[in-house]
Amino acid sequence: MISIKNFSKSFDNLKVIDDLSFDVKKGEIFAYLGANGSGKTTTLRALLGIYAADSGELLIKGKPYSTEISNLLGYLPEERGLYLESKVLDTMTYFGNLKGLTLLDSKKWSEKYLEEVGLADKANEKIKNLSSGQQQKIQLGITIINKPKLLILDEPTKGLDPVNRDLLMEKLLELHSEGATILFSSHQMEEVEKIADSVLMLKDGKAALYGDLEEIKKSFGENIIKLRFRGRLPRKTKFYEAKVEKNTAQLIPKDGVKNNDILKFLIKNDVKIINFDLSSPSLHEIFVQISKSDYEK
Amino acid sequence: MKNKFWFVMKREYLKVVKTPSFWLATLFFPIFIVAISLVSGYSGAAFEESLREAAESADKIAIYDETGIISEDFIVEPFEKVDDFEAALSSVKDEEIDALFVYQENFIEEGINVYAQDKGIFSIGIFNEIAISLVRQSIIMSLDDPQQITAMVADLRVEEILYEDGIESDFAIEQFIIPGISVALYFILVAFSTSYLLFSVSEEKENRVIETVLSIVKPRELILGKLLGQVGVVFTQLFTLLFLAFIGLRLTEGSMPIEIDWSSVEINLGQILLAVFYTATGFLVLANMMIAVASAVPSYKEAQSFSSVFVIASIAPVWFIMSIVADPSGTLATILSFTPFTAPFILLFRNALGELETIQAILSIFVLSFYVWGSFYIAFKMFELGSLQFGKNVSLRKFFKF
Repeated sequence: MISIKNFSKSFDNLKVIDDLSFDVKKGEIFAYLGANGSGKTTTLRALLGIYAADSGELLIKGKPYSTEISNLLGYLPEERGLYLESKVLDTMTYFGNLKGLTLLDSKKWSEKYLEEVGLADKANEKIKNLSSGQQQKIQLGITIINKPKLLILDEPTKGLDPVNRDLLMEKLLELHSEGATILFSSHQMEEVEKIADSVLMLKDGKAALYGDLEEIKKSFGENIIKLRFRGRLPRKTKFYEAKVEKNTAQLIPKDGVKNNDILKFLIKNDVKIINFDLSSPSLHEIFVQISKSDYEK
Repeated sequence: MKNKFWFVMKREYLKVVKTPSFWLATLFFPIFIVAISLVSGYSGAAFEESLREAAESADKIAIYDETGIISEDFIVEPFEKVDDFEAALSSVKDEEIDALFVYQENFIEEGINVYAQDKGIFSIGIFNEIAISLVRQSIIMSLDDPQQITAMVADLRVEEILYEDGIESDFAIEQFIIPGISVALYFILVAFSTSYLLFSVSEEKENRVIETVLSIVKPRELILGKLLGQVGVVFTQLFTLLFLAFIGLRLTEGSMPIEIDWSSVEINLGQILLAVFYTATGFLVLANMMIAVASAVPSYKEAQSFSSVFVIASIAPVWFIMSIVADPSGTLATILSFTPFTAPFILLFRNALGELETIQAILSIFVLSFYVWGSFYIAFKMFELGSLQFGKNVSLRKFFKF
């Protein structure tokens, strides 16, 4: 669905994206991760033709983006807003028209959506008279008014209250179940873990991580011991490397060391074990590890 | 499927014409002008009347006449001839008499002196007309020939015959109707439309809706839609004003100082095409600058301050209008005809007067086309640089480096 090849972009001699390549498959939920200022928004804007690429190819369905494709697309930018002086229904039908819907269809859809999100009585209100949460609902409605086959969302949950966050997730999953492809950037690792099929993590303008989420987690080791304990935990041993926080610790076994050996070692050293759990690292942990290290794929 | 700019245009048009303030501004503009003229005319007449009454109510006016011109026939109450200037002046100062008129030997060069009490701003000049009238009437009385007297007092009709390049020119107010409309149209465009455009671009940037819009509509479609939407607004305004003018002319038919023979309104195709070209290019240059300014700064308030420079430059020729009328083909007129922003108005005006030489008209087409191209370039470049730059201005360094 999306193919980015050797994309580079600089601003004022600062290289923001450096020879980046990745693909988003049809029907996939793809999470685009990176620290603030890592170039996520730049990539999405370049993909949508808002910025020109310095080099490389950014294709949607095999073609560079054109506004004709916008009829199939729902884009929720990070910097989002509405025409505050316009009425709710007028604004929604205007965007519906721009996305290829007839006036009648976009009006019908908008009225149904407003009913669904509890804003039917606000249809003829000026947007500036709506609360911030109500405006967020209108923003989401505008994004999905054309039942998009491709959703591009830049920090979609940023600034959303919990009700609208749930509404957004519900709508995204609904569209995904109908076959939509979703590319979104985020800082919310828990959300990414819940819904993403694939991820790409940007660092210094390059892909520090890229691939199937489960595969990536496996590659960071399935054999991490998450420990809750009482007593004094030995930190420097031949058995493991430890990251300790008060009464919890994350133990990464050294090469050739078995979990049982670690357990025996802890008992022998009078560590009172409350919980001994084997798991993969969370995406949050991987993100922090990548961000802090000089690791590059 | 309709082009997207059509929807942008429709929205821009409806956004303005659906507001009560648009109709208030459009309808009340001519009403306001007519009302101001009527009030001013009435006030002027009432003021003159009050002056006349004040002068007529005078009890005593002394006349010190060194010339001997003032006829004895007019020396009736309240007038009284005096021989002692100093004594008469003291009487004025002591409020014993209302005024003293002094006609010196050389009053034609030196003027007539009127001494009177200062009773506030409205007392200024109340006796002047009487003093002048007194000497004029006395001169008429001194004429022996009845024909000369008739000629002096008659309301003489003047017929003016003008020549242009040795041929008698056929001057008629009707020939200025079409070019006059184009000057009015230009003013509406400058006064109203460009400010709507400035607001429109600023609004999208300030409300951060621009990125969503740009993901659906190309910048060129967006800008074109906005421009055409505003053109629609201007035509709505123009047709409304023309309709009001038509109704006004119908209602006042026969009572106007100038009668217009509509059947002889001159349709000079070349002049009309030039007027349309100057109006359109003038609008485009200014509109493009509005887009550039609105894109370059983060808020509508700042955009308004910056844009006023261009609006003032566009209407600045009004300050030179008397010089232009006096010499429509002179150096000042020629320079302003090719200066950015002042050019459209001056060219329109000279075109309306029929004072634009063919070579200058041809040259102006090229020059104004260049200005339009240049302003489009600046507008698009600034839009590209600034439309997604929130919270700060686009620096000139960045603009020239881009």
